[in-house]
Amino acid sequence: MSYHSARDHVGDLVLDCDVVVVGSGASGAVVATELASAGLKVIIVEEGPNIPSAKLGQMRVSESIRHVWRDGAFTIAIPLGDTPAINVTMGRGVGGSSMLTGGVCFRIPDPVLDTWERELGLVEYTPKKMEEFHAHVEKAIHVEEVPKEMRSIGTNLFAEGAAKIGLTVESMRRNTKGCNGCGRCNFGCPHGAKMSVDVSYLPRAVEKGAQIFSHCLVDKIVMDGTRAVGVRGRLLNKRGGAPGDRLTVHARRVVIAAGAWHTPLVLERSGLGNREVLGKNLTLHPAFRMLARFDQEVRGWEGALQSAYSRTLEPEGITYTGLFVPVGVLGATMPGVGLELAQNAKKIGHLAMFGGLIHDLGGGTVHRGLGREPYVTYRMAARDRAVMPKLIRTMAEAFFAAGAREVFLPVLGMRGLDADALKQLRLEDLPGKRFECASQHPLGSAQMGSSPRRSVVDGDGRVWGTQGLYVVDGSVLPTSLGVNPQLSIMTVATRLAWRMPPISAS
Amino acid sequence: MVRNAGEIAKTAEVGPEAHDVDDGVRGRDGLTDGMRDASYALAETLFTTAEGPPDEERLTWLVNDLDHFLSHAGPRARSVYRLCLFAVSSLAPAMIFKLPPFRRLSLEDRAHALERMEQSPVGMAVFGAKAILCILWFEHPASAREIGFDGKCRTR
Ligand SMILES: Cc1cc2nc3c(=O)[nH]c(=O)nc-3n(C[C@H](O)[C@H](O)[C@H](O)COP(=O)(O)OP(=O)(O)OC[C@H]3O[C@@H](n4cnc5c(N)ncnc54)[C@H](O)[C@@H]3O)c2cc1C
Ligand code: SF4
Repeated sequence: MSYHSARDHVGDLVLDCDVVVVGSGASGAVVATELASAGLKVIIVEEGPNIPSAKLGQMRVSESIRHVWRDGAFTIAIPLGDTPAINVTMGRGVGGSSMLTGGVCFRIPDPVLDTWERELGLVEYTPKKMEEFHAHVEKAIHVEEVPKEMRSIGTNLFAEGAAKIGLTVESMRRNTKGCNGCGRCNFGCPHGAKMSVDVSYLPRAVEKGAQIFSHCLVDKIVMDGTRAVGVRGRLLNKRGGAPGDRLTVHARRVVIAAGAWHTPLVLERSGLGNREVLGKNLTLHPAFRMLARFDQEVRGWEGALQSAYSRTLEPEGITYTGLFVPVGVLGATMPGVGLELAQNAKKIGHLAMFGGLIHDLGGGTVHRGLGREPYVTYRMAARDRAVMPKLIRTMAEAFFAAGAREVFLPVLGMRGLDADALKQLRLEDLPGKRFECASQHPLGSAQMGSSPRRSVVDGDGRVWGTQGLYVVDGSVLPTSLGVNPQLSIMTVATRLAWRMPPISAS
Repeated sequence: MVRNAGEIAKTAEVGPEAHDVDDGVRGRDGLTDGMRDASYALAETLFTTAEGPPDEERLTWLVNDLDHFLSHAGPRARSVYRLCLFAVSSLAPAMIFKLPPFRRLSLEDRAHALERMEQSPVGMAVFGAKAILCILWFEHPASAREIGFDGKCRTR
């Protein structure tokens, strides 16, 4: 048996392997699969539960949230200065955040790679050199372009309006196979069509002998001098899923893939990583949604979840992507109470939705909290704050150009606005805290670089000053991307796995 | 309706049940009796329509499901929800110059208080509590029907 749950394990658990991978999300699954395929004995330890994709796909939306969304999706980046409170969501379970994606796949944009190469000295990260890694992952997770007929009516309306105001909308690429267009990818795919790592990579890792242990929380990396020799942590086998018996994994190589929210904590608790940089430089891609009511029925839930995008405004740091959220979540974002809420909720079948994110400059810091979880602060850079109103207004204008009657802005408690009211609204004057903002893309908190003074890991993912200790997840990306990051993270992870020096298999 | 701690039956099942999942959580209650009552009052306010407040059974199902949600979603979810609920209970009445707690106000006053608070600088607290209650409420097949959601796919 290769999937193990520590929940029912009694007593301490001691394991031995060539490579221990901490975290089973997008990056951990890739590295584990590549190393297991190379013949190494790999153990993956994951804090969250193992819920097979078929079961997740059958669950109600809120069940998925309560079981595999970290903190039941209540995680907030604490705003500093004139910044919105940002609701940051992540996965917690076998498959990590990959289980929750909308399937959107973008390669690392060339200008981003150029910055890494020119400004950060990451000379191995050129578009040409990354080509084979991109292609390898795209094949493994079945990246395909979403056919236009799979777009929802809401997406088509946005595209129509966007064209009228000068934005180009293109078809999205997603990691799906046989998508039925039921618009609930973020909560588990009921048709087994989303090729998240729990479906595409981890079964391959297991086939090659890897073992996956869920309900295992890693606290620390064990060092012998400067060499990593394993990890230590707790089994989450006590009442309420609390930490209980001890976990020890002896390994010849340690790979940290706990995600940008948690990797800095694991390193810090172990006394590792450059303190000047570790936990800082966190970028989030702050994102905003726009709802628009049309006279016609839209039935926004019918269609591939995120089927189109626009990067026309990327020079200003804005990317728009198609979006839909379950009706309950829509209801939650509609203003009003009682009768008004009920009336607004009845408009749901007539609502179209689109989203936009900021290619942010950073401003986030991961701090060690009192308990297991970190607390994170985020101060939006002045440039990003200035872009927010334009990002939001442009989406509203696109929908009005397509004939929307009213729009619901991502402003807490704000009623629907018609086109005239939008013109009169000075969004620029609203305080940052009034905006409803979300993020699914924490990155950069253990950044990679060419200088040990300005980064945590080198270009091969190795923690500076150590041997046998690698970080491979979203935390190593040294800048934000301006696009959804799963493919980029998996591509970088593939490169890091392939570059790891050989160790003889035990 | 004013309710006292523990008055709400904890067993009514008039909505979809939750799947049994091995997520490590055993036997921990998500809501205290006080939180149950405050959540009930908040939900009753949010989901009252022209026909009046929702059935007691539906609200009880909602509060039970919320309890299940919070006991599985982890300590931080519970703390944040509790904070939002506390803010609503203590601050919303002040928005209409009444004394707390929120749950002791008339339904009409509760609605006014909540509306005011939603648009105030502390609107985030209403949003936090409302978000999870709405997600659960609109999942109920009857609510989904009322708002015209049939969950059909694009193909097949
Ligand atoms: C709702 C949602 C939708 C998204 N949609 C898209 C999309 O459409 N396209 C896209 O490109 N990206 C999307 N993303 C982002 C993408 O999923 C993430 O960027 C990516 O999965 C991050 O990979 P990772 O390996 O860095 O971390 P994760 O995939 O988050 O994996 C980290 C894992 O480590 C585990 N862990 C953490 N700490 C410990 C510890 N101490 N011990 C043991 N285990 C630990 C966690 O439980 C988790 O399972 C989405 C994310 C979310 C949340
Ligand atoms: S839209 Fe496609 S990939 Fe997403 S859940 Fe539905 S069938 Fe699965």
